[in-house]
Amino acid sequence: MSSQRLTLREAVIEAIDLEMERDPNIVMLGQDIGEFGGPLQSTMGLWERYGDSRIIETPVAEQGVVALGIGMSLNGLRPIIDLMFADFLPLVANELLQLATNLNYMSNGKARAPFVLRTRGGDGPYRAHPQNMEALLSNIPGLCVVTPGSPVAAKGLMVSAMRSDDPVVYIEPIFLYQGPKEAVPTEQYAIPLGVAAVPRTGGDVTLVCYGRTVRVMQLAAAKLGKEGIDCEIVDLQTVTPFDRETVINSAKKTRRLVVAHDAWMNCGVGAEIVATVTGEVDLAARPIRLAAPNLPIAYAPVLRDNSRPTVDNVVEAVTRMFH
Amino acid sequence: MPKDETSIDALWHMYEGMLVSRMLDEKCFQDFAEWYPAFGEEAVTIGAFGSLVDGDFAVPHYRGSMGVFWLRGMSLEEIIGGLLFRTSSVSLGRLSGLHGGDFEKQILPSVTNVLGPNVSSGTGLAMAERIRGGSGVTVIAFGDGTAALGTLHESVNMAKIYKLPILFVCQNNQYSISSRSSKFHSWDSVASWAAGYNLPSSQIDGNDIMAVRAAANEGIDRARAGGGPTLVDALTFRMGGHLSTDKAQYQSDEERVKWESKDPIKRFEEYLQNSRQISVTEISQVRERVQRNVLETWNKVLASEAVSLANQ
Repeated sequence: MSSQRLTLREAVIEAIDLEMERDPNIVMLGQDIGEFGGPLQSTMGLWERYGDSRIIETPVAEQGVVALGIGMSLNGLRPIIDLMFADFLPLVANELLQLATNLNYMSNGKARAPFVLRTRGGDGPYRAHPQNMEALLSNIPGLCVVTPGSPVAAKGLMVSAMRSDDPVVYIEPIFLYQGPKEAVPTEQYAIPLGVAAVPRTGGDVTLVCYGRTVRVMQLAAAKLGKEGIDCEIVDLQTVTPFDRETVINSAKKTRRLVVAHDAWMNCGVGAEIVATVTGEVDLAARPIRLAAPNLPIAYAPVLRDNSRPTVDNVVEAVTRMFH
Repeated sequence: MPKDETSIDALWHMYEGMLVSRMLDEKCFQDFAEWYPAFGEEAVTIGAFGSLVDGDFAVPHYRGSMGVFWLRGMSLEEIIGGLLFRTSSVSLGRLSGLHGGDFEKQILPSVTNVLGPNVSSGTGLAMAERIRGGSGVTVIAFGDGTAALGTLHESVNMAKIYKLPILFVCQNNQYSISSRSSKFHSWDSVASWAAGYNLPSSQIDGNDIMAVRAAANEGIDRARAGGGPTLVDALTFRMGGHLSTDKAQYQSDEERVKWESKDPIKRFEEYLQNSRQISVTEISQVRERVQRNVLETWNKVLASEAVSLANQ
């Protein structure tokens, strides 16, 4: 099986490229996605291959554009709507949370909206658009929210998102965007939505994560391994609806749970995971959530860096559980 | 409905459509604690959507939507089932009667109570139609309140830049709840806004169904021929409050009397008699038949199986 070393950004583009070649109903909508190559080079090469008729540039009108894409998905197309950054998700909250999410159920299955809203979220080297909005989207039934934690996951999850018959919000973590490369299979493959990955198995503690914190957990697990603590990592991949079975089974095995995400702790995804697990599993230690403090995200690096869970935070939290 | 709005079949169809809309509204107004009637606005809904053919999309405004459902071929059983939450409801009771529609009949349901998203997603229906090379036209109606919404302006602009096959119709009843639109619009016609986006646009007498139909046909023909979107501001009047509990004390007696004399159904009956030599007897026969049909179907649906958790 051939593969190529790609960044997460390149892996997403490759998934879109191969799928657009396969399915003529896929078109992309967004700002600066043509000759410019997309925000953070997120569409590099696509306009050259598919031209203006399928890589459709739009005005700066996020609500109108998202609704446009939703309507297009109701009439035979499978649009990918490129929303520049996750900071803009609240702008289109109405279109996502009261329109897209409702269509299938409220129409009794007659109006399905197969579109992908792709955006970029979280802090990163670029440092300009740091917001994490997945918890807002996760509260509403009917929306699938995906965040890849590696290039391999990024490609396979984007393929499933494009093939889904219902709306998917696909959040690309900016921190990993131009980050470590990985050998990504050249042919097209799909990683199912709603299924978590277990990139590391272990018997002592379950580390639940997604997006950037997958990398944090991996580095922390390596450190903890040296101290004799055997970590199991559960990468949610699909944040909502999350894979209850994999998370619960892992927690049943290890009886210890740490959840880490870059988004705020208050009413966050971690709260849902902890509530779900503690409802089903007798844990040997109190579960720990690591997340952003309940403050807006500041600009000064010294302030901002303090808002993200770090490898040391995870090591310290896990170590505490065993004492 | 026959495309030539002056043919006798078209006239009867328009008349029946306005009657169905009015009589369903009267029944709902009488039976429901809360209802949003389109009294006086029937010429706009039935006129604007009357020329659509199979393959076209209808995106109605919530007020007066049932007349559009009927035009698109939904049965009275389905429409009333939606109102009474019976199993003949197309959405199985998940949507309200006036939001429901039937997407299989290319009516966009209103799955949110927020106004605006349907205008903007309706624009997307037309965008996909253009990209896929289809011949369908989309008619999108909205109120004068919605006309001031930012997303509507985004969509009208995009409809123009992408040359989409759309007829936008402002069902301008001059009120959003208690707010007089003249107080909140920078122009005295929504058509002037559309002209700002370089759309062919006009304000017309929304209580004259023949005028609405003619303006709609012009826009629909332009859209189907690849000439892009048109906006029609159909000036009408909401005869009464926003909903049944609203006594509309903010409307003056003077304007109410003035507009009551322009009731679109009465006006159309006069037109049928005076310009088309149709007898009063014939008109009353149609009126009685529609009334009987609405009430009999209502009672039949009322006695039918209700939506329940078990039959979802």
